[in-house]
Amino acid sequence: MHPVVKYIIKRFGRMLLTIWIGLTITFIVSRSLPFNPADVLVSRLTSYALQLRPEELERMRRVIYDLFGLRDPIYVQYIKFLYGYFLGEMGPSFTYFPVKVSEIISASLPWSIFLLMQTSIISWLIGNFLGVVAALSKHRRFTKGVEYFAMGLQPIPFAIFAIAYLIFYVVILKGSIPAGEIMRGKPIIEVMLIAFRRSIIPLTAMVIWGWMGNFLGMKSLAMKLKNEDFVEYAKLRGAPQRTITWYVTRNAITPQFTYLLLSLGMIFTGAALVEYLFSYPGIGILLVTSVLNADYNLMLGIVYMSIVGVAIAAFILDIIYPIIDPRIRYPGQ
Amino acid sequence: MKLPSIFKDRSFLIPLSILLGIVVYIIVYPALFIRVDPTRWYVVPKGLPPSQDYPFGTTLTGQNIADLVPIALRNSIVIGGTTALTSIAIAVVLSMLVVLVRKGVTATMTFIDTMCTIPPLPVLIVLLYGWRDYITMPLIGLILSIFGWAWPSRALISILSSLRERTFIHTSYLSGLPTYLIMVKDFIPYILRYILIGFVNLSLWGIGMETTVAMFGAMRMDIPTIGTTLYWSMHFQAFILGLWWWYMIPTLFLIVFILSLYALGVKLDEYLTAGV
Repeated sequence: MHPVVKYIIKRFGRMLLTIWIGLTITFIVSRSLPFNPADVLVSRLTSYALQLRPEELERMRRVIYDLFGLRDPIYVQYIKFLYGYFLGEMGPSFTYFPVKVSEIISASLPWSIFLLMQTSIISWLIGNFLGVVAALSKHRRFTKGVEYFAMGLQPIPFAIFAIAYLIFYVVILKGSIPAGEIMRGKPIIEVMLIAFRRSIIPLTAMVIWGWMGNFLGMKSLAMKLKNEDFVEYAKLRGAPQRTITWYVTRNAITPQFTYLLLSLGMIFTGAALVEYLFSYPGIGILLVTSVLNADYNLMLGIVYMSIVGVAIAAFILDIIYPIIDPRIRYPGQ
Repeated sequence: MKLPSIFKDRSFLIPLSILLGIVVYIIVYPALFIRVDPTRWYVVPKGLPPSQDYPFGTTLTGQNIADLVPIALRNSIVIGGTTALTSIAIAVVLSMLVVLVRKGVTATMTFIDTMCTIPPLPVLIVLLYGWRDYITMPLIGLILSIFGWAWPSRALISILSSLRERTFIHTSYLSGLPTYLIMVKDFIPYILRYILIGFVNLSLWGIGMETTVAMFGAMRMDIPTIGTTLYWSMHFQAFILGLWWWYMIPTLFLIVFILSLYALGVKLDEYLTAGV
């Protein structure tokens, strides 16, 4: 089998593993809550329809318990849970009862993945580019300045920065946040343009913050590589600066790419927050809605679907990896 | 006794004194000067800007910010500290076990990589929201460390794996030093530096994560932390109403605390590295 195909199969397996661990975490979380989400739904429905007779209430409770599969032994519950969630059967939302959780999330998830992919790729490219330039540049004072700026800002929590950016954009710059538009029936390019327009403000917030981690990582890697023998050799044989920069970048890019893949989960957290702050129609807004309405089913659905979303995003990026790392294309040579 | 050279370094002493100042403010001030429980609403006039009576102003919920900030910051620090302590402890024990037993390194690494990829926010929101009636500050820290341990474990396993191949470790093995002594005498001094810097970073991560979760409103919102304070200021539209002191002052305290803690960590790291 071609090594790249083997690699992709292996990565696909890794994606399934992530989804399975995600499912198990969702199951444990749902069963470890101090109350039963089904009971919350029953009491909510009861308050909507006060005139229910006791036997009707009992029947409704039984139906909901069956729906959540709560009357089986725990291992049967787990298997049923795995099966149901894997097929996207996550039960009804409490807030929008009886609309299914999967329907609500599937409307928001593409938005979140769109923002996540844009953010991670753009800030990765900018951060790495600046990192290499800073490591190889001769303008020491300027690059030191950029480095101190990044080092000084990075420990501050992203949440604080996001609020500061919101205040700066809305209160000081008096900028507007794009509203929603009807997308149904429009050509795909127009849809993409609308999506891009809506994502641009949360995207800038994420990129202004996100390049710094990549920059610092890349700079320290490039500084190390700069003193390696092969770079020294290239210098001695009179290679132009551009070639040397390429040598250093090419060698530093592999670990940086691994870092990008691993940090997707963290980037997702930041993305969810800016989605909420800047009214971007992704998972972030849904999370707030579910918290405000104590919609546990929706929350659990979001837990699972965000794990799936990030796992898919990681898999897509993983497929690019063989292009970057020749050891996968030609193993053992 | 001669003081270590680091105590003569100004870039170490400045963050240290800022940090000590903040610690005094959050521990001594509440004990001596706060008379009314700062978590209670509507005890002082609403929405006053900083003045002589209320040096940091008051909130629209009728709380004195000068009294609220130390409590909120203290709670956030407790959360960050617990997260860091638990996560580092898990990471150290796990990585040492994996490296010393020499089995299951690949499987553990796969599991750790998977845990790194899983987005922590939704899981933490469900857990903290579901348990909000029973939750205490250290418990929030413990819950956060469900995700906190993965990154430091990854780094520690790779550090220890390369350390294990060094000659002095082989010498210890061959001279029959018991495994636990190899851990304590040979490994710990080398990873102490990483543990220190990891502790600082994890504390910052914990504080940031708590702030994020609180901004979604998925916490006990009556307990003041920096996150819940920001949540309430957003909820009452403080940005638009121009009540800058409500969100700026707690945030500034948090930033000053974080930056001095970070600077201290970096300086200590430099000092310890110079010795190796």
